[in-house]
Amino acid sequence: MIETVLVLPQPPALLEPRSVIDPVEELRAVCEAAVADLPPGRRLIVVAAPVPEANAARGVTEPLGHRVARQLLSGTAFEPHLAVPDAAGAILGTTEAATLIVMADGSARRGERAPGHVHPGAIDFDDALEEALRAGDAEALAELDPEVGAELWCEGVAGFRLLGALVRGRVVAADLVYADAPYGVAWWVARWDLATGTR
Amino acid sequence: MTLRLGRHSFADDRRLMMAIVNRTPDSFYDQGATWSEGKALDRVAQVIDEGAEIVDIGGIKAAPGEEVGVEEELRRTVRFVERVRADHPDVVISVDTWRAPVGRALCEVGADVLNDAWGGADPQLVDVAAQYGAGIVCTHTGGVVPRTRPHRIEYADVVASAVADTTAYAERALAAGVARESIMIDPAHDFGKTTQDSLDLTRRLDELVATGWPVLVSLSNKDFVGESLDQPVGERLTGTLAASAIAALHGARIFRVHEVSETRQVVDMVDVICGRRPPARTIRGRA
Repeated sequence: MIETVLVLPQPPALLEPRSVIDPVEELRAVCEAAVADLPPGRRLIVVAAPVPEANAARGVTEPLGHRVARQLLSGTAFEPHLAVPDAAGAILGTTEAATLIVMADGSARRGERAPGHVHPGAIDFDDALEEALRAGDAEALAELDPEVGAELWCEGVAGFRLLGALVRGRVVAADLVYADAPYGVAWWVARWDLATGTR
Repeated sequence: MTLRLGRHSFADDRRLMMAIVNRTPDSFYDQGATWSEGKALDRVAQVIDEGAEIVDIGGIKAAPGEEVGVEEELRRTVRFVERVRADHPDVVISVDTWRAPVGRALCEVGADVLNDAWGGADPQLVDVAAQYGAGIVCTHTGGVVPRTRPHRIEYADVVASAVADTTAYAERALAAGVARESIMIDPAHDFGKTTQDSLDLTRRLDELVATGWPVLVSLSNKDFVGESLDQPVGERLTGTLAASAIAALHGARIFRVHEVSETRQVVDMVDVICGRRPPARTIRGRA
């Protein structure tokens, strides 16, 4: 049973090699602190979006989110899962206490200098997502529209939808630790602690 | 190998900028711009500000010209080196001289390196370096007399000649008591060489690097650049930087230059491309 959820973003800038000046220094520190604060010794599941088709065609095999998670977890073993609709069964399969890390971020079309330039719907979309993370609103995450996500260059939608489906109905104590978009992509670090019963 | 230049040490992944400071009224590039002591001190402060680790102070221009005796060379350099030492305790002071008595007087007032551009013309220079714990630059000139231009000089293989002569000079310095980590070699572009010779040395600089001795290159605005591109003095920076990039690619450690910032950027860029140093800050495509 999932008892703790951590939502982390997956900018490749978190991976090696690093430049002399770390452009994601603050984010990295927040992520590392959040990971260090997880309850030890539990089953650890990391959900990541599958490799996008275009990158798969270029030979990439391992999802970005799993590679970023490995970097942030610095050697701690985890169970990798893909954020696909039928993943829920395998993840929920046991009664063992588990921690779920969801590698997901927001739109990359937030402004003139964003990777995907400006999309007029990006800010509102991200604001709603951020509110759901802050409030522990699994229902809102489960209902995210994949087509809108694709339009807004939001690779996190698949992971957020799976998270929503997995914890829907549970009592959530949510803590939004970090929310920023310094390079035009919305990044969040959020921790949800789940009560063992249902509401 | 860690490089020790007087009181300063530099790890082997460091590339050093040696900025030229002329105490001459007639050097080819600056035409006496730093002949006055005030202007020369300003130049020192400026190149240090631009990140030069070494200043190379010389009192005699390399090309033929007015005879400058020992007394005059000392007059041009001793007080100045003393002043630079006092004003900039952390900079490496190199002195561009081939004469042992001048080297001795300059080490007395704080010089860290003897840059012998004329390939050991004065055999006692190595003893001075040994006595003062100074570094020495062992150059290749093909055996020509100081301050002469090459005339119909020929080599069967200029790179082999440069390797043989500079390493022999380096061994001679070592035998005289100069510390191994304070000895550098320099193929001395244009000194006793045609443009083709200097181009061969640039293209095959890796053969000098492979000797294991740290390699210094002095390419800045020289005639081989000018003749390669048909550009007069003053229009040779681009060609100089291209040659510097090739030298950096091959592993040159020290760059004797007029333009510090520009050369530093080129050398850093080469090192980043080669994976020898990380980029300064990368976020493009990785947000």
